[in-house]
Amino acid sequence: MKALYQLSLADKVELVETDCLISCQEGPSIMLLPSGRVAQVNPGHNFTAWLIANIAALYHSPHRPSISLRGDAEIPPIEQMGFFSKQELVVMRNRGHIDAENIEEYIAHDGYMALYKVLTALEPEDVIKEIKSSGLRGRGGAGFPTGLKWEETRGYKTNPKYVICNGDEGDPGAFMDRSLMESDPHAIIEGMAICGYAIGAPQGYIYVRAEYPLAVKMLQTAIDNAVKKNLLGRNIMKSGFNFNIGIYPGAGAFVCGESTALMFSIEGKRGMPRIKPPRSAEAGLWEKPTCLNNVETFANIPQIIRRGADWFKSFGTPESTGTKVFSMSGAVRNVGLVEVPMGITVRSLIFDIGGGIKGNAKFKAVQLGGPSGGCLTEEHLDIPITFDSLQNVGSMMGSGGVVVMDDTNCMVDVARFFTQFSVDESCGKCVPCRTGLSVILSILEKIIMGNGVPEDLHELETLALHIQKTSHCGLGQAAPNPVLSTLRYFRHEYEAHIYDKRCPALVCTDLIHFEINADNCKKCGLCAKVCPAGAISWQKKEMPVIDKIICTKCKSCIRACKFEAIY
Amino acid sequence: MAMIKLKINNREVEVKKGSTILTAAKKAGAFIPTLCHDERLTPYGACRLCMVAERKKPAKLIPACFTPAREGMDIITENPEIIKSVKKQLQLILINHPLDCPVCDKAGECVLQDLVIRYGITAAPYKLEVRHKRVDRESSLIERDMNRCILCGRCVRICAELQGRHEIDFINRGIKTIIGTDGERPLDCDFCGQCISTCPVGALTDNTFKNTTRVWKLAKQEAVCSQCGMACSVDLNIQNGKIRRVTAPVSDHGNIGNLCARGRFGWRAYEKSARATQPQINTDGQRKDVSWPDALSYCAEKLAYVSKKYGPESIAVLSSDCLTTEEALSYRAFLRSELGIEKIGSQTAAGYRQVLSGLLETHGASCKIGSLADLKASDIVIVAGGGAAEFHPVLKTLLNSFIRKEERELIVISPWPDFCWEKATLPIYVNPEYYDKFLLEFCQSLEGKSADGSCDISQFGVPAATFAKLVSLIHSGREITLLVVPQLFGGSAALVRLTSILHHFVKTVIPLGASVNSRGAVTRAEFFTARKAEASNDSGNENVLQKIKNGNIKALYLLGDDPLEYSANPQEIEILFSKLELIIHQSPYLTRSAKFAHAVLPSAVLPEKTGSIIDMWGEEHIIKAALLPPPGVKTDADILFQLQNLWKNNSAVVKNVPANEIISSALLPPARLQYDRKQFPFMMTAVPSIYGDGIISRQSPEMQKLKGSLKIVMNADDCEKAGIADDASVHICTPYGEAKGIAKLSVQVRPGNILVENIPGNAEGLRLISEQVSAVPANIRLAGGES
Ligand SMILES: Cc1cc2nc3c(=O)[nH]c(=O)nc-3n(C[C@H](O)[C@H](O)[C@H](O)COP(=O)(O)O)c2cc1C
Ligand code: SF4
Ligand code: SF4
Ligand code: SF4
Ligand code: FES
Repeated sequence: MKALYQLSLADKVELVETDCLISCQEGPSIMLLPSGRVAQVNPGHNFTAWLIANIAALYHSPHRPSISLRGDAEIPPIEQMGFFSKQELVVMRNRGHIDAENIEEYIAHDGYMALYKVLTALEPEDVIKEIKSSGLRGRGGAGFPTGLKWEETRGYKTNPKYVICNGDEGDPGAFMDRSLMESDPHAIIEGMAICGYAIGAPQGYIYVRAEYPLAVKMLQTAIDNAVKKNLLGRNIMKSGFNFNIGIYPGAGAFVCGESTALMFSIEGKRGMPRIKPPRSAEAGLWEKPTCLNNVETFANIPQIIRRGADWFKSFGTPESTGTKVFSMSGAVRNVGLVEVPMGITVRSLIFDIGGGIKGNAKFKAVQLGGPSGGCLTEEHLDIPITFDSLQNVGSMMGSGGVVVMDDTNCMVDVARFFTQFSVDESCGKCVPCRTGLSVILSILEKIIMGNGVPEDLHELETLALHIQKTSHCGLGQAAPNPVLSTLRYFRHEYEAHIYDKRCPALVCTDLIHFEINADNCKKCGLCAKVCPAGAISWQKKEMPVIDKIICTKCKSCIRACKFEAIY
Repeated sequence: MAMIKLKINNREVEVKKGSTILTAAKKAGAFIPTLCHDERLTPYGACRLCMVAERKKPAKLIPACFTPAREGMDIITENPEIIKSVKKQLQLILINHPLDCPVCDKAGECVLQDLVIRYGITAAPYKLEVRHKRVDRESSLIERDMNRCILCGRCVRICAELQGRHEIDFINRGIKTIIGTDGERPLDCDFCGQCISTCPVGALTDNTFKNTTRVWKLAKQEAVCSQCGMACSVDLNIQNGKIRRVTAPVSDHGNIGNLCARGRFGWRAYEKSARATQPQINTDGQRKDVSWPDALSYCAEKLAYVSKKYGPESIAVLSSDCLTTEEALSYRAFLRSELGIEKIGSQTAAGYRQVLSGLLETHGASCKIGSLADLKASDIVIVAGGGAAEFHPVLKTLLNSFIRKEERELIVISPWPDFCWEKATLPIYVNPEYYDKFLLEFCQSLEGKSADGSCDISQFGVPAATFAKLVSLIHSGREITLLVVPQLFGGSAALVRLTSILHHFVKTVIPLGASVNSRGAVTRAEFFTARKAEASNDSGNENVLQKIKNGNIKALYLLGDDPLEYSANPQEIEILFSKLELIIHQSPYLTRSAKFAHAVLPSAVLPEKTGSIIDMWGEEHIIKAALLPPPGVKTDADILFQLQNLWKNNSAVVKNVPANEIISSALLPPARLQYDRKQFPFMMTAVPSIYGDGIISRQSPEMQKLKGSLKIVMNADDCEKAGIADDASVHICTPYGEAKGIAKLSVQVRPGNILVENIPGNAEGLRLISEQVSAVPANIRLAGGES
């Protein structure tokens, strides 16, 4: 505001604090509406000064491209930025464009039009028909057709029924649901209310991961405001339809994202998946018919209703319609959330939108679908991202996590890392997941420490398949994916660890000799300079020598050496 | 019920729609390995052993224990894929299971052990560093060794689903999961041992059995538990003629394999060390050990003498209803024909008899006394009275299963928050001071007489809406089973009246509070027949004490019963006892009356008898002696047989003495004591203990230990105000007496109410109460402190 006053623009520009403007690798940014120009902060600049300069620049020269204070390239309007041009913003359309705490802004962007339409012009059956015909499939992981789920829940006559929004988002590194809840909570609320109308439920719950206090706050504000405007509560828009939403903070376990465990958690019980039947649609929360969908699934609903199933189907492929938000991380240049139409290739996701691999490293693998997704290789880059195609190659859509790996990643270590996650998060109910995963982890650790034996590979494989086949819930069934996929596509790395006692990516410390390879060494001495422990002695024109007693195996030297001379 | 057909291993079977594949497989005689499955519990799906496959998709494994069978399925229970998976699962389980079978009590009946042998698991391919887990050796009766636990969750489920206790649950997650109590404290629960009974491995074991023998040395002998009227089926596990432990046979009817603490752990009451084993007589203040013939001659002579001198009405007989039906019939025949005694009363089962006699009297033969099947098939269960599940703990499993089905109602009307009240769909906690009044008011409203509004409903502590719901449910036309629970001591006239009125509205009535063969004693042996002129609350013993006081009774024949341990004001009874010319104490135990008895006749316990009994549901059980009576002990049948022989040879026999009419005006109740209500701001109710108040339970060292001293349960706020902490030692006084006990805080007990447990058998405790009223005014003070 100070900045605006200094520019005497206080009455012309409204400064709105908004959610992250999507591309995380950049610093704080501002966007000028309605033009959609952005400017980003240069680290090391005084923030107010930066604001002043940028607001001024953006405001006063609407016809000029906006300027980044980095001083290098000019930043084009947001729609034309490379990062954004291939994206298709459907669920994220309001992100950063509206003040999430202000219901008027949502309404101004056609908010609650869909609910109005549903309540005034559509029968519940019509709503379900529309959602079914849109082909929308659940965004929470399994890709179950949303319309079918609604129809099934509607079919049960027990009352009351419940709508639950799954905002647990337990995948490490995933934050698409969080971002939606924080930036566009009304879309979720509207989606839930439409669901409530369609299935005949008067009550909804949003189960939000406890680590998301801001999301809870935004949702609560949104609910309060919606109630005030009679968009929730009793007799909504005088239609006779009642719908309330309560927020339930999660128990903080990954497995609580599983639908039945989540319902137990709301009931105050231990979050453990239960057996089916009965399915939740028949007897879910408090043993009443319950329809549970993911945050992103609900966020899609209002627009499908408003713009029609055909519009929605214009994105994506026939089996996987619409768009999907991915959260990209790892070795790509642009990390952050992206929304792309289904069916886009993995390559396009990583290279066009992600901007390719950071630095000059080489692409090695990409893991899709969260901690229990499979790792794909170069050869898979051209497969389209749909629910089924990913499944076919041993990976999955999951919640939309994308971790890109370059050649500095050891795939055995990657498998170990994700298995560790599953071991920690297994609820402990069933034998294969509880014990089997721990055994897998111990075998991987053994291999990483250089104690692997050839039989381990067979054992890993059979055990992983056993866990996949016999585990009770999705966690256990999917947890072996990282191991199985790396065994399948990167077996040579395992073999190197076992037979050659060598980690090709130089990640597994126990398998690094910390010796200098005389053939490669150019005797530059860089390694000696970077060694924080002072373990490397070097004289000009001499080969450096690593004192293994002092060496802490921090790998600074390996990273510093430009000639890959340390192994 | 719709049926479906499917094939299991090529064999066609037909099962009810909704049945699991496992059920179908059982029917087809196919074996499927299971560890986390128990017929009694909802399926859980944790062990993943029960995999089967469809013939068409042999590689897709389906868990059989919870997957519903579908019409036309073609299931195979064994193929290489399945066997491989079972083996792997067992190997994984073994990682976390110590191989300490040599010192494990479960060895020989361990499901895991059996499966490991069946599948030939010899190699242990997997190794994991296994963390040592806790062994709980502090809990009474149950040892919990979490190292052996395979986390099947059966104990957690049985405790929650059937027992309704939720004492134990999963703690932590993943590989660190264990089963435990909150805060890892020792168990403080029902000690039903249900968790032990379901544990497939040796993680939960019975401390009374620990290291005594090996299970394969035990012979299981079918029997019924004699500790309450449910008469649950038990297996006495016997070695060398001694009970080593008690288990429940797996069956699909009756208690379906469920037991309570008394039934499972109370068996030491049958052991010699707890018993009377020497006949004695007491002449001229001298107690002498005598031979059986001497003791019996003495009894025969004295009985004949009293009978001749004072007439048949001068002899009273009280039974604890632990006789077999055959014994009861013989006693009844003998007492009637030889001594002219019409009624055999009971102190222990007084409440039960009172309700039953009330019903028989008003409704005669058309009286709708129900069975267990009636209860299970009804839509609504009304429990009238407090302590149903405390009297009969296995009732918990029945009622918990009952209410799990949709649309069922459990209405509980009780003057204290008992177990059933907690589980009720319509819990009605009536102010104990006006409990009887409430019951009468309720009678009036059922008879359509209560519109005058003269009654202040607020004094009952029952919201008007609740009362209205109660009445509307009764009129709903749905099938109702009424369980009638008498007070622990006396004063149930209002309840009897209510029972007889509710009788019109319900499908069946089942009186509770019975001893093991009370129903047989009443319905088969006609221990009492309510005769026209007598007060309806006379169940045969009501006025025995009064009659002694009036000098009408000169001899008392106790058949296992003991008024000194089960009536108010025992000191007064002791004085009355000293006026009697003859007391025969015929019992397995030397309970308090033995001290005053002229003859002590050690009798056998139920497991030492052959015959039949009828449980409180009306089911007849044929029992075979599983044990020999200890030397010096005779069965009641034997005792009677010899007594009869002596009788025949005895010239003093008095035959066919006509019955005298009782002069009822002489039976006025004692005047109420005068007292200042202000001195007694609380209302005290005597309540039954889940660990048993009957004669047998009281002789079990295990139950005694669990019960401890008098337990005084109070509202937590009241306690705070009075500065009383949980487990503090306190004095409780009523207008009748004073006693010491241990305070227990409760949030459910209302302010101003006090519950006292463990009164039966406790001389001090018995002094607190009155036979006439259900709740008595009381006050409390900290032991050692001032009032
Ligand atoms: C271990 C596990 C964790 C899960 N976590 C989440 C989660 O965090 N968020 C989510 O929406 N769905 C999660 N799911 C999927 C849900 O069980 C459920 O399928 C989904 O929420 C249904 O919504 P949808 O049909 O809209 O996808 C998880 C599933 C499993 C097995
Ligand atoms: S697969 Fe894992 S997380 Fe799922 S129920 Fe089994 S133990 Fe729990
Ligand atoms: S003894 Fe009974 S109440 Fe106690 S933990 Fe076991 S099942 Fe639960
Ligand atoms: S203690 Fe026994 S019954 Fe309970 S979970 Fe462990 S193995 Fe199962
Ligand atoms: S018996 Fe089916 S999973 Fe355990």
